[in-house]
Amino acid sequence: MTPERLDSLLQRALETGTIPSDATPEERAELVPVLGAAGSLRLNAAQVDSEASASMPTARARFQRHIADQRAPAPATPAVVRRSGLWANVLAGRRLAFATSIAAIGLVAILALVIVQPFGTVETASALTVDDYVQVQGVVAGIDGNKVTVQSSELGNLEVALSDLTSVTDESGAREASSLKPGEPVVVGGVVTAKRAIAASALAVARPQAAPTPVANANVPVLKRFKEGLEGTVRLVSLSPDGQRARVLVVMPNSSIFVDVDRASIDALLAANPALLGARVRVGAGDGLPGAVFRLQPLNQLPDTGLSGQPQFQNIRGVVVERKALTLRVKTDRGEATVLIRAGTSISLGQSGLTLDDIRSGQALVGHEIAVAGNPDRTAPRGIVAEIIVVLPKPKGGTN
Amino acid sequence: MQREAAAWEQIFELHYRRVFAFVRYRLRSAEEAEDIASQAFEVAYARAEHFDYRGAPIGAWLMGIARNLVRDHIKKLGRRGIDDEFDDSLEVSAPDEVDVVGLRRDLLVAMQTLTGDQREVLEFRFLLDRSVAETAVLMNRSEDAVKNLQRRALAAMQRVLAGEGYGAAGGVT
Repeated sequence: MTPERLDSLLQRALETGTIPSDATPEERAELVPVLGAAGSLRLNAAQVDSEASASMPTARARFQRHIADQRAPAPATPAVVRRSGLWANVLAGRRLAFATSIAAIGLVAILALVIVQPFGTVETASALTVDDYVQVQGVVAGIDGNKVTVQSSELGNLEVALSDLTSVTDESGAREASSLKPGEPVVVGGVVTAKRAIAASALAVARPQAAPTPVANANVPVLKRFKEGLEGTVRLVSLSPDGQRARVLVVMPNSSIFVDVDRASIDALLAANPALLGARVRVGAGDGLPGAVFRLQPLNQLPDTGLSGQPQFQNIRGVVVERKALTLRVKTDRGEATVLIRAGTSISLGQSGLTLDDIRSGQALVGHEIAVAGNPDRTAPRGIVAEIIVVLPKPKGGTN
Repeated sequence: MQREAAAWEQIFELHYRRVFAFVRYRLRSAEEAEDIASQAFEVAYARAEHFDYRGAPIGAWLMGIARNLVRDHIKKLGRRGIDDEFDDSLEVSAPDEVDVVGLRRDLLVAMQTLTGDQREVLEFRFLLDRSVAETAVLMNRSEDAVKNLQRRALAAMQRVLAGEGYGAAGGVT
């Protein structure tokens, strides 16, 4: 048994999956544990490969956009996308990029939708990041049992899966999923599944409108360099699963652009607006932030939902007056509301001064002001299933 | 190299998975890995004119770019340096994630105990799925030397895994 002989036997075993029959018992005893280590490495490699597969559509789209940007003639300012009508302003999404550190209990991503155009093709497809939580606006384009096709003017068709757990509401309250009709504007919230569909936890319906004109190929650029005067409406907010990165789609009168922003901007946006989508913002410089990451400044204007009479997902702001397990009782300007924390709820402790240990201790949230984005809870009159909670400092002379 | 979109399409399709894997083993999340891997292709595209066909394969060139990006990324995050990058990966996963995450943590712990060469040969052979011949080229060694290094690296890794109780419990005990 020489080192060279063992090297050769090992290589043959790695190639065939079995220890060569001419190996002696001593050689076999040497090889078995070594092959065990190799098997562990290969198992792990398989997992990483599946992650690579999941990320490839997003990365491909990003690289394609990069090539397109580089080949475009001297873009001194962010490119402008011509849009066609009201619904051309409604939607688009992508993964985001956040930089600030936040403590979080369950991590959620609000949305990672990307325009993906496989190389060599023309049509737009959408790629969603698996396991992300997404909120997206669109219009019902088709219904097939529990599957609803939602059309976005910038993302194309999205497949939305409904279930018994999906809360379907309209302006008057709860509604049967079977009553959905093509042409109805909707906001969908849910988790992206392995099949790149959205397993909807909530779907809110607005008054019917004419279906939007499909946009076959909307290449929305990403802001790379700060530009003064960028103001618009947020049509998409996306948080990465670890809560570290965020991107928003800002829609302006004649153009739209993705902007990577810091997490604090999203927290501020949620704290300042009753809704994330539809909020008016100004893009600020990203001084002190990583490259091509910017800040958002909420503007004091009523949210422009882009959906006539659309019932946005519930968002509230108030002071926590009681916590029982995963249920918070919150005092708002319009009375008390119940907030249910679910496993995937993203809780940003931001400037609250709290730590994860404080949260785990149970009552630490009581007395703090919180801003909550989430979906209607069908089990409670003023209930909301929280997707994102931003914990704010205790108000002076607070409730508790 | 010409900046032909079609050529870059093929380069992306051929190399993305390996670049992602290379980065993934050094960073804490798949999202970070995707971002850095994407940047690697963007940088490569920008530097296309500087690529020399007669030198290293384009895969190795991409890996070199990715390695530098990872290094910069870690520096930006105020971490300790490339040699400690596996430590960072250990922080990634919650303990209640799927078994394979526990396995990854164990492997990363074991990887840290290896020499640079041992770590590199295992990365090329098992994580990036390179053949012995390819690994030999990439490491500038003979194929026999790669085979010997791979056996010693696996044996060293197995000793660490066994010491951690991995073999018996399927995870760090």
